[in-house]
Amino acid sequence: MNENDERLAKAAMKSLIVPAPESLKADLKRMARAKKTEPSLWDALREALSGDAWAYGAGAAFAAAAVAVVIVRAVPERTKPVETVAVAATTQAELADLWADDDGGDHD
Amino acid sequence: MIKLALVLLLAAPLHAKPRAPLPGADELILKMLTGPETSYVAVERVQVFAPGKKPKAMTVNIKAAPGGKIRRETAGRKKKPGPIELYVEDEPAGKRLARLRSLYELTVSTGGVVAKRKTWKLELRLKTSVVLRRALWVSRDEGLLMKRETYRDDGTLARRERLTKLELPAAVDAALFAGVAPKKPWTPSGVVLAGEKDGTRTYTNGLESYTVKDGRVSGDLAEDDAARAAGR
Repeated sequence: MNENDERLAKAAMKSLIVPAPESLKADLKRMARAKKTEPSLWDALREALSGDAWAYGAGAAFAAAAVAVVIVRAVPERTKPVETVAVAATTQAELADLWADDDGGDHD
Repeated sequence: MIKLALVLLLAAPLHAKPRAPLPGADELILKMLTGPETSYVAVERVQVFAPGKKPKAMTVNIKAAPGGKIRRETAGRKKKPGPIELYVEDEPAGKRLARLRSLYELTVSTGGVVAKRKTWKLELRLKTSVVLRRALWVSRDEGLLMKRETYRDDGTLARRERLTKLELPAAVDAALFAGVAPKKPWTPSGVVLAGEKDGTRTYTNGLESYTVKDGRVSGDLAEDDAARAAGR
């Protein structure tokens, strides 16, 4: 092989190589960012369980509200006296209206 | 002359109208509790004297039939009809007399005229303290309770019920007593159950009230009414 043949072979090899796109680096960065913004389900669960102070506060408030609802529903008779007192007040007022001022005299 | 004056003075009482002998307390109360043998119509005035307040009163129209059937129509106010009580007294008179006897000393004297009827006056004094608790005026002829006064421990008047008009006998429509039944539980006239809380029942007539819990009574009631309200 002479010197010219060698040069031709190198030129042929260069023509076979596909040139890399100019924005390859930017594309690779975009793909990496996209992959990072889609966390897995496991990661999401782990993040939820290991919450910050706000998450703990909200959880405690929700639990307290749930316990209060359960207690109120478990003691239904607590509402009865309120109803009875209301009825009593009505009866008392209606009966009191039947009485009129009087001179206190003892006569027919 | 002196002899003549003495004769006239001694003879005068012989011409006077003889006074009716006082009946026995038990006999009078039994007659009163049994009630008249005929129907009657009456108007009653009920007065309540609360300490330090103006007296209050209400009017009740009463219709009664033999056998202890009673219909009490309270006169309404402000164009509203008043409540109607319809009941029959079913407790034997002997039991009621025994209750009064267990609590009070009973004495009889002459009473005045109430609703144009001559009366006997019955005084009920507490056995424990000799305090006059009640006075009852009972018509001499029919044995009807014409007037009743109830007193506090200090002797002040707490309540007066007086018949102001009476028609006896009177024609009363039997249909007015349809469905009549004894009061269960018993309450004094005009008193209704106002409510129940923590096992305590409260009864009221708008001005006075009493409570019943576990057979114990406290409030504005005389001893005999309290015993009856407690079921004794």
